[in-house]
Amino acid sequence: MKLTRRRRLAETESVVPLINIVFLLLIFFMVVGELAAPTPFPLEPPQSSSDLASEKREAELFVSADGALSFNGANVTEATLADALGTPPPAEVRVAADGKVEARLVGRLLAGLREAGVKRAFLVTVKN
Amino acid sequence: MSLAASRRLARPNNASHARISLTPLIDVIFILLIFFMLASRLSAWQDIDISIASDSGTPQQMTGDLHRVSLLGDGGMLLDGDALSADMLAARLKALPKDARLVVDPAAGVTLESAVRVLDMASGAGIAASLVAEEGKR
Repeated sequence: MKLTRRRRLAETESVVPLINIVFLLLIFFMVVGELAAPTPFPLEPPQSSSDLASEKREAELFVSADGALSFNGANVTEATLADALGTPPPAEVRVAADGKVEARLVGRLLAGLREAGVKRAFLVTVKN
Repeated sequence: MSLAASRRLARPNNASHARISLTPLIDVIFILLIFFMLASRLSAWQDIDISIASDSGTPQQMTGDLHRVSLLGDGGMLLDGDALSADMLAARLKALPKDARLVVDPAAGVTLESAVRVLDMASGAGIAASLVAEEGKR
């Protein structure tokens, strides 16, 4: 009799540690993670020791590991990027490129941005 | 209303009904947890201010201040034509005057990671650096 009562008590209480753990996980993800718009494709930026926190600029260019481009949410190619910039072109562009992409492609894209009239470009990295 | 009836109203007729169920709370917390797991990015992004000034990269406009780091496909690095290791390159960049400009010129097949490593060295040395892709060497 005593045994059954104790077991019933344990069943009702077993939920509370679960809630505690889930609460902790929730707070962990709220504090550690930063809310960000999803990137158009999986992206692993290269590492650097830069201290300049990344912020959203006037325009955003994503470069995937296999060289696919996305400018402000629209899929573009190297040839159509200049048209996608519009007139007047944005003064500042954030370039988020995967670390595995060929550096020459990024060099060509930066040259293309410069020729289109972009004043400053920011390359996204993660802290190493 | 009789005394007995008012007592019945005042007292909850069943103790288990009075207890608030935890299940909806857990449901909501779980949904919030999954939302934050999916919507948040754990690695904070840092920007490199990459100079795209119009006078970088073309030989005609090269001045005495402009230095060139060539990254070779086999992992080698050249600073103004001298083959250097990564540590030596970092030391040489630190020794450059602060108004120097640097052009990082990767060969075909060099990943952005290696190029950014050199850009990072340059910003550590306080030198403005840009990334180019020279047409002639493709």
